[in-house]
Amino acid sequence: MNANQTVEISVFLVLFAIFAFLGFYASRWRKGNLKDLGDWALAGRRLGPFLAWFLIGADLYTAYTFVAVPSGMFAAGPLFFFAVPYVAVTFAIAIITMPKLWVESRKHGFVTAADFVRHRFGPILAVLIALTGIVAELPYIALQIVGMTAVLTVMLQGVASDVVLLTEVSLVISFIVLALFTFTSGLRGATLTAVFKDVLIFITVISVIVIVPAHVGGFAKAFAAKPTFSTLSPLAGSAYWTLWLGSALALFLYPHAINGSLSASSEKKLRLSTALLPIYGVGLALLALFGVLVYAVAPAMAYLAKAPAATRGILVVPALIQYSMPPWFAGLAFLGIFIGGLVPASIMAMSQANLLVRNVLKEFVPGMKAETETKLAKVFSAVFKFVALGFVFIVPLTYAIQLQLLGGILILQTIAPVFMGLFVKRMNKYAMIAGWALGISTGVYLVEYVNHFQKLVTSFYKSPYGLLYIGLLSVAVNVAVACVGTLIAFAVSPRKKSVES
Amino acid sequence: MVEENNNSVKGNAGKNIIAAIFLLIPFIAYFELGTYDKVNPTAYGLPYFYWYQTIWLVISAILFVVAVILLNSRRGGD
Repeated sequence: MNANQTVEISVFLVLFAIFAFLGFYASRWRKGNLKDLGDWALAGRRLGPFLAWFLIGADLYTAYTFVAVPSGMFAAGPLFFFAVPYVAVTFAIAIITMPKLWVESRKHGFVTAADFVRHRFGPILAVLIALTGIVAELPYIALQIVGMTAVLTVMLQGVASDVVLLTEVSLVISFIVLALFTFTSGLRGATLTAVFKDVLIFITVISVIVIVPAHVGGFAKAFAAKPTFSTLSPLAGSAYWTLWLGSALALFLYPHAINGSLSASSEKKLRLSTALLPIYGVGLALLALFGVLVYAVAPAMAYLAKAPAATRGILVVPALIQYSMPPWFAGLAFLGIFIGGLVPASIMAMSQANLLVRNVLKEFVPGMKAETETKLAKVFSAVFKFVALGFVFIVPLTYAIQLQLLGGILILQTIAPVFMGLFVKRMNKYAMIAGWALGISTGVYLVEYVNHFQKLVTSFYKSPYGLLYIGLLSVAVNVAVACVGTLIAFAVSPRKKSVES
Repeated sequence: MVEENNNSVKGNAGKNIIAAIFLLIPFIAYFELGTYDKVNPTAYGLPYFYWYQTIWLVISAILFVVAVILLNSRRGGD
């Protein structure tokens, strides 16, 4: 370990200690009854616009974003800038759907989207929606860990003889800390640490984007090294819009995004903080550009050239920071990205646990006491974190990225009951179950088909109209089946409607 | 027409429609790839493709805030 690394790692550790302190301290912050699930998982539904903004933002811009988007830009260029239109328009969708779900949830005490689906469409569909959410969320958590691993790999290089082992031990320790404070503080812990994390991330992104181009001769030099990255190839036009639209539809179906939205203190405040979230996307756009900027940073490129091709992409952002910023700053930035994985992982595991306990287990164990429910949710939120951690340790890193492709397609299939069901009470539940099943089979089959039943590398289907994102195709099938089915059911027996509320 | 709707008794419906238009504009802007898939003019060394889309994040936020102010001002609420 040289002097620079000592500084870097010390800054990282000191800031991690502050992070852990905030996580535990949060249980005393705006104290409520943490034995109540709504209180533990939704911070008592008391987050004002400012904190809700940070929490939902923290939820959505994760270590995966910091790592996967720049890594895609690095490898494939402008197609991966789809992340920008995606984060702009996803909030328009959220402004329409989330406050409505918030109102229903406040009225009936819902904690998850599946609670709402059960209330309106009955238990079968609710269990399906809950299971889809749990499965789709798992690779998302795994990818947070992939992002955290990338930071540690760059930061700890040459520190020990076995960096892989050191990285894994560090991850296990941080997950124990995370599990402990999630257990005691719930969403309060995630919120306080989210503010801390975002301050670090904003400092990092703005500093790098101002300092590095000035240092290496501007973006012009980076684009000169990769001239094909300057514009999207005309062939990719349909791929671009289907990808951003499909992703935008998916985001607020993820349990962690819904969980964040339901924790707002009022419908109006939720709308306002959601409207302001595209601003947060500016940080994401700049991060995506890191994937191009790195081409102008010679030492970072030299480091990346030595890394195995499969994992090169995920190392882009940490390498850029390591080789262009002073050590103390790298320590700060790395901790920002590191907890940028931990905080969302905590929220994701909590929302998975809520789904499992409330919407699956409770169906089979009726009359479960509220206190038992909360206790079980706390335990499972820890279990899910370690399952994801084990998954990342066992399978190759790239496998997690492939599964994330499928996760996005899966979660999209919950659209009919969750989004459309909010506005159209007469949606027929059997039609929606059929749509869900057909959407999933179409999506999974097409993904396998376009990848020739081999490793999953693409999620685009080559149609006569150009490349199309399979998520959007499969959800179109799903929605069509759900709507046509509902119309048929209505035509057959117009009086017999499944309206419960 | 827009103002008529606003002044009418069914003001909420008018507000919903205007808000919906504001929410839709970013979709259209980003959908029109031909308008921004080019290199020049560059800014800060960045091709138009990149900085145009980034600036639209800020424009989107402004449009959304206007839409939300309209939605939040509806009488009766939801």
